[in-house]
Amino acid sequence: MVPEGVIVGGWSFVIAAYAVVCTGLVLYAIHLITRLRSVRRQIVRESGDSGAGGEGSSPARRFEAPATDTVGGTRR
Amino acid sequence: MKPLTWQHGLGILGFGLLVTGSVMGLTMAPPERHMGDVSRIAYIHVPTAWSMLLASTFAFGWALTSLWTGKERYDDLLAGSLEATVILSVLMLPSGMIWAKPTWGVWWDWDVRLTSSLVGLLLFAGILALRTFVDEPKRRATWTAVATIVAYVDIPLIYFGVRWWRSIHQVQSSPETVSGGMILPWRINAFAVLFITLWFIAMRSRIEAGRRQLEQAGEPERIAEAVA
Repeated sequence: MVPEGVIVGGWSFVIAAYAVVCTGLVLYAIHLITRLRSVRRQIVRESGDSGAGGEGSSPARRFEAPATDTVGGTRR
Repeated sequence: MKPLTWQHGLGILGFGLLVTGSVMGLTMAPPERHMGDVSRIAYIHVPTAWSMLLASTFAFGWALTSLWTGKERYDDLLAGSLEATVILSVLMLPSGMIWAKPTWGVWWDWDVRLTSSLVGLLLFAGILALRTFVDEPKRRATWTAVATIVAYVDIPLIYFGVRWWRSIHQVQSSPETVSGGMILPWRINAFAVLFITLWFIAMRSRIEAGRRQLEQAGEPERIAEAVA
C-alpha cells in the first residue's frame, strides 16, 4: 500500500536531531583532545622522574616514536 | 611528541564538511514526498549509522589482526575503533528516535533494526568495560579481540535485518531511489562523519598507546613495591 499525505512541520525534531549528533561529536572530540594532553603530560612527568634511566627507554621517548616503526614491528 | 598533523587535518576536514553538508541538507535539499522537512534528519542520522557500521568493521579487522600478530599497536587501534563504535551508536540511536516520533508516531519500537542496534551498543560498551577489568596487557588484548569478533555477529543483523524480516524501519536507500538534490548533502555528510570517525580512532589509539607505555614504565616500580 502506498502511503498518502505529507507530514507538515516537524522542524523542532530536525533541529533536535542535528543538535544531539553535532553536540555529541564536538564534546567527544574535546574529550579526546583533553585525554591525549593529559596522557602526554603524564608521560613527560614520568620520564622526568626516571631521567637517570637513560633517554632511549623513557616513556616519552617511546611515545614520540614514529607510528611506522611500531606498525612495522621493527622496534619489537 | 610528534604533532598529529594529518590526524588533526582529518578532524578539521570532517567538521568542515559536516557544516557544509548539514547546511545543504537543511536549506537546499528538497523535502521528501511523504515525510516533508522531517526527512532532513536523514542527512545526519544515516551518515552516523554508516560510520558506526564502518567503525565496528574496523574493530573486527583490528581484532583479527591483533590476535594474528599479537602486536600491541593493533590492540590500540581496536580500542579506538570500539570506542568510536560506541560513541556513534550513542548518537545514532537518539537521532533515529527523534526521527521515529513524527514519522512512526512512537519514539521506540522493538523492531529488528532498532533492537539489534541497541544490542550492538550494549555489546561494544561491555567490551570497553571488560578492558578496564584486565590489568595484564596481553590478556586484555586477547580478551578484547575475541569479544569483538563474537560481538560483530550483531552487525550483519543490523544491516540486513530490514531485508530478512518484516520491519517498521525502511530498507536501505540508494542514489536510484532518492531525488537528485538529496544525494550531494548525503554524500558530503557521509564523508564528513567518516573523516571524523577516522580522527577519533587515530586519537583514541594514540591515547591507548600512551597509557600502555605508562603502565609498562610503572611496572618495575610496582614490582619493587610488592616485593618490599
